[in-house]
Amino acid sequence: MRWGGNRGAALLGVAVGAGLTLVGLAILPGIENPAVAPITTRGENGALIESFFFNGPQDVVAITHNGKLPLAASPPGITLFSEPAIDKGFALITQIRNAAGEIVGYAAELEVHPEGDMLTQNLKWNTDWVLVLPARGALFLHQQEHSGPLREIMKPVLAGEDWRGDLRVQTTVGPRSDGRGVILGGTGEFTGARGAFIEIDHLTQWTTGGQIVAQFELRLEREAVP
Amino acid sequence: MTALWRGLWFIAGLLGGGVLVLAGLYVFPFAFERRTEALLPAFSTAQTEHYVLRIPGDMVMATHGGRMPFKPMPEGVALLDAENLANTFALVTKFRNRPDGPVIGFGTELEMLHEGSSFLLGRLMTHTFWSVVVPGRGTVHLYETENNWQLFKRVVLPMKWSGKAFEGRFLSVNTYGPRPGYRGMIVAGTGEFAGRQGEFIEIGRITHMGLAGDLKGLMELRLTLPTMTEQDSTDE
Repeated sequence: MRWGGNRGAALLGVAVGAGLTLVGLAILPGIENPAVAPITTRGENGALIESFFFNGPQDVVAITHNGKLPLAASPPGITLFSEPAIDKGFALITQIRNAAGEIVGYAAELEVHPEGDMLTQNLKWNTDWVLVLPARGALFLHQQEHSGPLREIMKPVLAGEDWRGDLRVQTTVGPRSDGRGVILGGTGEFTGARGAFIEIDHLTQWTTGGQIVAQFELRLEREAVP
Repeated sequence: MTALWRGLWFIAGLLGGGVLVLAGLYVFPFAFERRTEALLPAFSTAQTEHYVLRIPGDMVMATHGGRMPFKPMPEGVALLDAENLANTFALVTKFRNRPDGPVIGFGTELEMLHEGSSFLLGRLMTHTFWSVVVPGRGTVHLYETENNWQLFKRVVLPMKWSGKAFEGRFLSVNTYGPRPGYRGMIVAGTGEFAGRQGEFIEIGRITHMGLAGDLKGLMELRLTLPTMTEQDSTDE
């Protein structure tokens, strides 16, 4: 067999082609989840304090509920929670930022509201948060919130007037005995995470059309790992 | 002239070598491709708590960072288009207790592409976080890694090659880990799910996939949820 002729060229081509394809497959698809360095401070007992923020409406991707809340479901046309089993449900998807304002991940907020009028009574409800931080992992949080402070805002809105002001309020009231929510756990660098958190809402506008201008903060205090 | 012919043969060989590798990869029987048949009996509906969503009927919202082969919905929903969210996906959905059952809950599926993905190893993976809210009962949070190699091979690729929508029956356990035996894990819970440890699998049934990334089918989560007593005795 002669290897120097056309056959040799073809076989060399096959070897090179196979090799190049293998290299290409090995380096593709080149998936990287860019990391943004966390911005943290140390609290008491070495706890790690880190806040995540989102601004309404620009960071919010979607909101849905039963269609009867004074907060507009979005984007227009999104399916509502109309079935009896979930008509007290609420879901929100948002991008989340660090303390420097950089987008560092995204999150879901899932709530189940209680029976009763949240705007005339100070009612509590359960809220779950899932935070996904590319290259870092996910965090699962649980809190009880209450409607108390929001009732003042809603009075003019329900009377047909937009509300403008400057109200900063901690909505978290539990379930911990110190009035904070709990970090249930996580994945990645948050595997086994424990600790507490609070949600702080800074509202400046609420329109009769259900649009909110606000900054929301989730302030986490993760226990130091022994 | 001889050199020209050799050059042409070399180029033909180059292409042939590439095709040979791709064809070999396509037919290579990765062990994980048999996990659907292996896992479904262990996660029978009689032994599990299961949550089903109809696609697209129960989907409330779906969006991503621009790299997933799925069509965002509803019309006008924003993409997760920040630089470090390019590899992410988000779904808000309703859940049923069986395909023809009533809606019993709602929740989310949040995904990001897995850094361990590799075409060469047949791994098209995601980190996937499911949260299921069942009003009156509580919330259960799940974590799995998925490997969608079979979806790519049997649905997406034939569709791209043919230029025609996929119509058929594609059944797949999408879960790849992180637990041994291709099982996902229950990370946390509240209400009656608080403290419950267990495993789950995600099962996809696709009957249609359009060129625009629109899907029809069912998605199911099957959870093994040991009672606290069973859990305690296992821990001892």
